[in-house]
Amino acid sequence: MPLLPRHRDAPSPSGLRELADEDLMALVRHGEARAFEVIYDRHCGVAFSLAYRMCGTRAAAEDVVQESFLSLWRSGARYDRTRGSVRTWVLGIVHNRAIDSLRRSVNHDRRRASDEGIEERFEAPEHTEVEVARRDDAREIRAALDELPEEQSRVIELAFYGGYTHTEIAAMLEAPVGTIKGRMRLGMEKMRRTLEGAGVVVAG
Amino acid sequence: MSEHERLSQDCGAYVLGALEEHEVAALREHMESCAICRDEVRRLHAVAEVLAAYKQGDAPS
Repeated sequence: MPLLPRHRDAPSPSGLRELADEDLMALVRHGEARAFEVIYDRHCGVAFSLAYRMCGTRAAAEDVVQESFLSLWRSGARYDRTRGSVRTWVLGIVHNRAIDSLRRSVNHDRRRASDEGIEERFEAPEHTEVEVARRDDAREIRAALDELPEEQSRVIELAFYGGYTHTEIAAMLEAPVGTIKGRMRLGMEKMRRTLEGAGVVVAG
Repeated sequence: MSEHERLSQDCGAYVLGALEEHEVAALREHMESCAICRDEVRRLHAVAEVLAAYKQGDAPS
């Protein structure tokens, strides 16, 4: 985490640590960097573990956490306590950043594949066809996920990329377990219809 | 709520590997006698499989 500016007239660090997240955010809104450092200390562990489970490497996860907290610091004024806890807000941004990071890595692979396209065509035509089909499918799958209401895509991604159980996701998003299971079922069913329509999944 | 109504809610979470162990056991037992849930799980499983293939392909190396 980069060093943030410090204010001379701010409450003492030990005093800050006794405040609830929501009260700290009120200070963050006024540019109080040490209040934000307390928020960071409290949530960076869970933020890292979510990013790591989604990205699969420490380096990518560290980047995601860094980007997320910078973005949180810049957008602190937009935190709205009526829409959920600070932890839910933090994890929501980490989740979005991790998805962005996964997308960037797909685009990178795609560009690299197109640079190497000529050699691949000569050396392994069948392999190339499979690769192209796989990339097309990946686009369809991404599109099918994007078409879902966010509340459905989020629980599916947390389960699938994060490896969390529905109970863990329910706790994380502060929603009843029945709601989380219902969103997973509705989202998967909608994806099935979309992917069958696109020919990625065989109807049956 | 009947057993079927209750357990069929778990089909999505089941194919995503997001159920707790005891719930997995309960749904599997139910599916032995319930063709509706068996079919739903089979169809949703196809979606989970392409998601899994996509995930492997996208994981940063």
